[in-house]
Amino acid sequence: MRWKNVLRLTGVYSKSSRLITKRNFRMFRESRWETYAIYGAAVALGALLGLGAGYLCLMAPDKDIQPMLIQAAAGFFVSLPTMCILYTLFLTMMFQIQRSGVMASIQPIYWFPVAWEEHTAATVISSTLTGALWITIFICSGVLASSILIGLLPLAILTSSGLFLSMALAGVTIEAFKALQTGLSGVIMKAAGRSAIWVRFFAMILMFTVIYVVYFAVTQSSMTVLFKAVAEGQLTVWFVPYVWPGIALYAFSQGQWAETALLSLGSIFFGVILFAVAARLNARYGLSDAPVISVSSAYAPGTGLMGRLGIPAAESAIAKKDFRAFTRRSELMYVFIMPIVLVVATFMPLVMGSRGSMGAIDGSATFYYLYLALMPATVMAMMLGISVVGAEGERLWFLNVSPMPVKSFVRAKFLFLAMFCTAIAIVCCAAGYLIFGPALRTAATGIIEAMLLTYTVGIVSLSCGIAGADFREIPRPRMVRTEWRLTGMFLSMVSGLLVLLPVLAYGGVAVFGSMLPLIGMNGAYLYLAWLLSGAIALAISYVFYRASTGYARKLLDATE
Amino acid sequence: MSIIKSPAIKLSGVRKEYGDMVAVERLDLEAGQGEILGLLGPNGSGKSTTIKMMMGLVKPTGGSIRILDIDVGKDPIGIKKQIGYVPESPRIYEFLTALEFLDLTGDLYGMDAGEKKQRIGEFIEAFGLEGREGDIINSYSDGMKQKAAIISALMHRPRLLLLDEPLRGLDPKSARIMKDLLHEMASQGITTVMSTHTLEIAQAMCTRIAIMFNGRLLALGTMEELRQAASMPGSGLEDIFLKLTGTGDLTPVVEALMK
Repeated sequence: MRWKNVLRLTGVYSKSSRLITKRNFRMFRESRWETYAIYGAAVALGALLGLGAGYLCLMAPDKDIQPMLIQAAAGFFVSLPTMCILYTLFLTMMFQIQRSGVMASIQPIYWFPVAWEEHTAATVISSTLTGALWITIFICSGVLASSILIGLLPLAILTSSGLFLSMALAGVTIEAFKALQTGLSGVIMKAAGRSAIWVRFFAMILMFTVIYVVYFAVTQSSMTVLFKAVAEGQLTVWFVPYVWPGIALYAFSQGQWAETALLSLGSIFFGVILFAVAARLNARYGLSDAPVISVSSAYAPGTGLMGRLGIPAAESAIAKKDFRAFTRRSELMYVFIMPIVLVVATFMPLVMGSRGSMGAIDGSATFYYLYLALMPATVMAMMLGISVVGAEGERLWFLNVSPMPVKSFVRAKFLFLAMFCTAIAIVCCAAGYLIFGPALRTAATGIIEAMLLTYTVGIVSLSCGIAGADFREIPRPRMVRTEWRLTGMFLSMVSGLLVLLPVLAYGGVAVFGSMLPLIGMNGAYLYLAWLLSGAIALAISYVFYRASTGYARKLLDATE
Repeated sequence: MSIIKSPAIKLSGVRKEYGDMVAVERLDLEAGQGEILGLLGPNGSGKSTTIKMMMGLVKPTGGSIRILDIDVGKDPIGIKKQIGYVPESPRIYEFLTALEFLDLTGDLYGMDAGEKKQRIGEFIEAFGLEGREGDIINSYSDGMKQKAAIISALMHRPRLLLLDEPLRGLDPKSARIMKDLLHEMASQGITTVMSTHTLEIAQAMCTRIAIMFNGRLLALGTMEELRQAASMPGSGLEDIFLKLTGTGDLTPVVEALMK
């Protein structure tokens, strides 16, 4: 392995990664000072915090507490390498997810005289440069600075080495996993035949959901509990090589030199083996082309459901095309994950807090029913609305040369998100009704407001998605400019609140009416609130529909 | 289809500027019904911009464009219904199958289900896509993607074809089918404007050839008229093209590279 090649490739790959996250790809100028400043800031901040923590430890008023604090610090140091594995795995995986859908792949490896080991090493290093390395440098700096004051310097030096080793182990693991996943998905796609598209879709949704569930499970527990669990847990699973750097530190802190040496060497050996496996897997699957996915050769054009509903053929054809885009393009699938994440993030702590029973939820059943009825479909409408036009990318020319009026274009885009989000709203309302058993009036309010919110937020975000559409696809599809994404989110929130206002007012009076009987109101007001909500939704939708057609006209005029 | 004698395409004093850069300068061009007009020129000479202006995708800075007797700026939807367009390096929906993509095209052009099915079947077979029509386009070669784009341009029976490098990436059989098809369509009065860098194809296929350079029309005519304009009797299109575009003798360039 030629290290000169590794360094050159690392430079190219890490620059490519930074370009992917940059807004202005074509005008991007690399600032070396800025790149290094982040690492410098991590060192400075870590040192500052470390010195502060060390000083506080030394200044403890009770001299008996000091040894306990130093012992706690040593326990903390010991847990760090395993923690490093966790955060590097998570950050690197997030980095890989961000790269999904990147159009420009790095190809010179295919024809330059570069060994797979060199490519693998460069990929591992470049993937840890963003995120994981900053955190690791920050922690190392803090650990070393604090240890000078509290007299744990040898342990701190070993901890720092352990942190870098753990980071490398996690990086190589992700690289091996990535190559393996490419190979496996090829096999699964071939085996799945015509169901391949749906297998891939549900597998990706499942994978993302699991990652987020794990992430929430980890981040929602207290950090003290987490560190304690890691420090104690790693000794229990001593046979897993990933925790060997942590156990080596533990052995060192206990003065067990032979175990320390053995586990340290074992960790390095494991890293070398893992690297060899990753390089072999890259060599085996790195050049694999995406498997051919066959859907169906049977062709029977007909009117279809949308045709029977009186929807023009051109509009329903575009809506069908968009549905296929969002279920087949991996970079668009994230819109399906956000509503799932919302539900998971909200209900998981409740379920975990009540140890699996829904007892904690019973008291706020109405709130949770309405949350489930309204939030997932509304958030999905917002995300789809913002990205559905930009998702056309460089293929917009096709719609632009087609004999289709601008209004049809806007209606087709809205049709897709409205139909899809209606289905989501119905499913969520039904699930909420079965789980929380709300009163009939509450259930009806949920479904009515879900529809109104979905359509209003859908057209509001669609207008922002058209106004800020970004069709650049290299190095990754952009969909919408950041300022318009934020504007879309803000306007969606405001318009959503406006639509809900009459019902919120009714809810507020219902809650506070018992405390202030003077402001009590007739139950019939709920029906009036529905009507008012509907009227507000209609007014907002009309305004933004007009805005959407105006923006779409400008957009298509500007597209060559 | 009856052949109308009025020009299918009429560009009068068309000009296109992008900031300070003039892409097309005072272009006057006509193409009759059933004519195959070749647009030739070096890279950046304004061919693609001209085709895009005919399609209504690019608004000219000055001048007027009438397509099939309709002002492009006045009735863009009406114009688009009559045109089959293949852009240079077409990006099509890679996540659809060819069948799904062509079905989408049929719906956008208002074709009825029966005609759509028949035309798709015929073209898929003619261009050798049978057996792969149910595969996601993402897995196609560039040539197969080009075939899908060409079928999409032809299947709705357009009266005018605007083709930017249409034969690029096609295998010999498909290229031959395409050429025969264009001749057959021309005999039925369908006009084709085609840009190409392959001079042999232009010479063999086009009734007239327009040579553009730096946004200007250098020459327009049949092969014989171009020979006369270049004072090169009996010469092929390549020599005429190189002379008219001032590229001249390339021997010193090649010799310098070989040193």
